[in-house]
Amino acid sequence: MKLLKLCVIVAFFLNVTFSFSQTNFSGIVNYETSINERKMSDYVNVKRKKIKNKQLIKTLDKVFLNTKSIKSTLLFSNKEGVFSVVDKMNLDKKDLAQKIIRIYSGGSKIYYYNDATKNYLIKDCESVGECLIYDNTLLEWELTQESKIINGYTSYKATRSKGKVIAWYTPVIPVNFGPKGEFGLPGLILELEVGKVIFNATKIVLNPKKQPKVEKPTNGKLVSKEEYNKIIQKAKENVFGKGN
Amino acid sequence: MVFAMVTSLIANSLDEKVSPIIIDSVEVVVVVVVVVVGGVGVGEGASECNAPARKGALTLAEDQDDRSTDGELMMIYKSLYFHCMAN
Repeated sequence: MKLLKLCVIVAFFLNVTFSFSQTNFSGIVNYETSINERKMSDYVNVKRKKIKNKQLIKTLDKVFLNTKSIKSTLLFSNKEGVFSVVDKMNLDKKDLAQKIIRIYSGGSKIYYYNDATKNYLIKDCESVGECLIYDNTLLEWELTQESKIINGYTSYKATRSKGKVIAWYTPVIPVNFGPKGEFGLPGLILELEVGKVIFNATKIVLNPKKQPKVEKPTNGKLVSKEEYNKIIQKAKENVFGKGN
Repeated sequence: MVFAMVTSLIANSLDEKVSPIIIDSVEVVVVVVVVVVGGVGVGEGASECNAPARKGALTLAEDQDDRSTDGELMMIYKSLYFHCMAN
């Protein structure tokens, strides 16, 4: 009986591995972003008390306590992927809080991944007055054995930047991408805690009938990561002064 | 009606001060856009929007700095600033 069980498990994994090793492996992953509860409690219990400007408190309250989730999508096909926010701000154009959570979710940025050519790019048309396309760097993850089930997939915890960024990925779907430019894990990221928000995969469609179209970003000034940082730093210094 | 716009660019900043002045029968609206030198530390003279937008952006911006989150800081600042100006 035990032997039979083992054979079934091995056959299952061989089947999964075989299915995913097909050349036309593609998929669509929908994510929803919401304010991270830990950050919300940090704001309510600590940061809020230090702010004196009432209008600012009103605005921040809206962001932390009253925002609706933002939808985003990761498309992947043949070792290429692209992540972007879906919501186009139609109804919430004047809603500042929604605007902020949209920025947290990636804003109008386009995150492009290509594992075949090791080309990872970010297109940013919002931060300064022009569209910039720059390299997205691989950041080192620390893998752990901690696991949980997300949408039926066994997922493992990984962290980076001293635990500030937490990802839950599933090795069952061997796609090394995730939301908002995160990549490099041995499986698809299904949950991501980054900054003030948390991304949750809400729908995963593997090998859809219509293959997702993944396009490399164009129509922007190509700059290196260092050049991009310099441009942003200059803009930042003009507003915030040096040393911020 | 005469509209005169005087724009004084002292430095690259978004601090703006709008002063309408009416002289006798001729309305002259002088819009002086004073761009204050520097940023932080020039509290007096800064517009009502700039300081809260800066503080708000710093409170709201991401607290890890390894994936060019300064770009996000700028976007949040702009959103707060223009929202304040529009209201």
